[in-house]
Amino acid sequence: MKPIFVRGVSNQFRLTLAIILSVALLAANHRLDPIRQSLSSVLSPLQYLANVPGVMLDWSAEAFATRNMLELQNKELLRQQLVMSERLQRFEHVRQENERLRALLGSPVHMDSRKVVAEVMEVASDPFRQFVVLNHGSQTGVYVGQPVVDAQGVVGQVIEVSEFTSRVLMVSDTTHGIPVRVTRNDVRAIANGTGDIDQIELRHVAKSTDIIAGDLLVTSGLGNRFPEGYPVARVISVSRDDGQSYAVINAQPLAALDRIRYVLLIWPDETKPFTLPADLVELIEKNAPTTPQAVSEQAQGQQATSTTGVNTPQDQAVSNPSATNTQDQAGTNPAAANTQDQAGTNPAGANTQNQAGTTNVQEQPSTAPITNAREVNQ
Amino acid sequence: MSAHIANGRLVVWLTIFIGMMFQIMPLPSMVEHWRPDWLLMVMVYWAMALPHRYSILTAWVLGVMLDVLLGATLGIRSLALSLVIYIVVLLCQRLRNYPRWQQSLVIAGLICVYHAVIFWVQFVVVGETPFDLTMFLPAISSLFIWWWVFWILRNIRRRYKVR
Repeated sequence: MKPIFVRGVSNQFRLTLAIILSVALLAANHRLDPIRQSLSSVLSPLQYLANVPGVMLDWSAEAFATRNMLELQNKELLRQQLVMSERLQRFEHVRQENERLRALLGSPVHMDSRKVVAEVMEVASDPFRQFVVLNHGSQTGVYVGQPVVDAQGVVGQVIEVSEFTSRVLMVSDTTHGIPVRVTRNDVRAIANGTGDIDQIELRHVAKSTDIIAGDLLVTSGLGNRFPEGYPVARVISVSRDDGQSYAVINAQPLAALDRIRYVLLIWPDETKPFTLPADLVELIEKNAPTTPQAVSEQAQGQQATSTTGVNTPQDQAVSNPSATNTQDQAGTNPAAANTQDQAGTNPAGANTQNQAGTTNVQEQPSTAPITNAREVNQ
Repeated sequence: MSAHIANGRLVVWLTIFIGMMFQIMPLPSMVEHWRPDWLLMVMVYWAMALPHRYSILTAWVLGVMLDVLLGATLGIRSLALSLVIYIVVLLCQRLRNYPRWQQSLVIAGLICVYHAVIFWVQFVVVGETPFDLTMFLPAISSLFIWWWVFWILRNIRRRYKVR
């Protein structure tokens, strides 16, 4: 029987109840994170299910790819791989040299951090927010605030974690800010999202600041959230309007935020000594026979640098005064000096560290001590 | 039939579930802004056909679920959805007798209200939300899709004798 007149509580009452409940939710939003997390864990199968058509499409595209296309793709990948492995050889050499120089300066040796490749499952359908959902959650060890990058640059940070999924706020969201540094001259700024997917802006930058269109912005590592040195955006326009109190600087994120498929989750705290993945080493070795000379030259070069690096004391002396210049990279780690058992460098190392430490405190009072404390704990 | 015994409750929730799937399904960014509000249309249909069963509080629960799934601040969509469903429940007798095109126009209007409320709450709660007219694009796509949604859901309702 369908009742003609609605019995029970009136619609007005229900609406009032719904509004009161909604407002209560909105008001208590920040305290509801645990509830939200468990709810989103419960609902995550829905997300996986909604992702199935896309996965099927991808799969069918792969399954029905023509031989021609595969060959083309294969050729392109082989070419890329060759270029990359050549670059990697050079990189490996430069990295070792850099590590040695840093050890001499008493600066922390850069460590490799744990990374996991994640797939984008869902993109925000909300025109006001910009985030993506990844297929890894607390089961993998994802945590709130974790940096996320892709092949080109920084994508954003994790803002919500459920059991099997996590939500990443992209750098272009209006609520997102990221501390950056201009690679050309180390000018620091904070890049805020604008709500436009291909635009971020630097706010509160004085008009006299030396930033020009084309400058590359990389993460500065201040703020303790993003590890230092990842590319973020390229400046596309700088306007110094007399009517504005600050320069208006727009930049374009390097990561293709509107078409990302795979991203990297980074654990900056879980560091280990830098080692090349076994497959990459193998790859380099496999490519080596084609250019045997280059490899042997490189090996010699490494030996040469290592001997000069360790044995000449004047190197140390020369590099010492310039130590203050490295202040920007001051996540100073006393332990780093110990890993290199060179008794001679230790006092110098401590010295630089102090200098770097004090300058850092002036610049960014909150971050420097925390960095130190944390790294000492490790 | 078991579906008959349960008053077709299972069927209704299945359609709502499918609507929600369509709502959160990843789409290419080009058509993303045009995504029709599937869940809202499904919910509007059931509120229109069976207002004594599925109305404001159901909409509220679905709104919370949608907020969780979309990662928005909890309560935004539940507020907007229950408000829209309240209007539908008030108008249900009239809506049922409207010709289909007139119905779609009303639905498009409701979707505009829905998005305007979402924008407004977002603006108040989160702040710094740029006003963007693309948020009303779903109203246009839903205008054309409502006919099919209505047709499918009515057939389902008649077939499974949902009451």
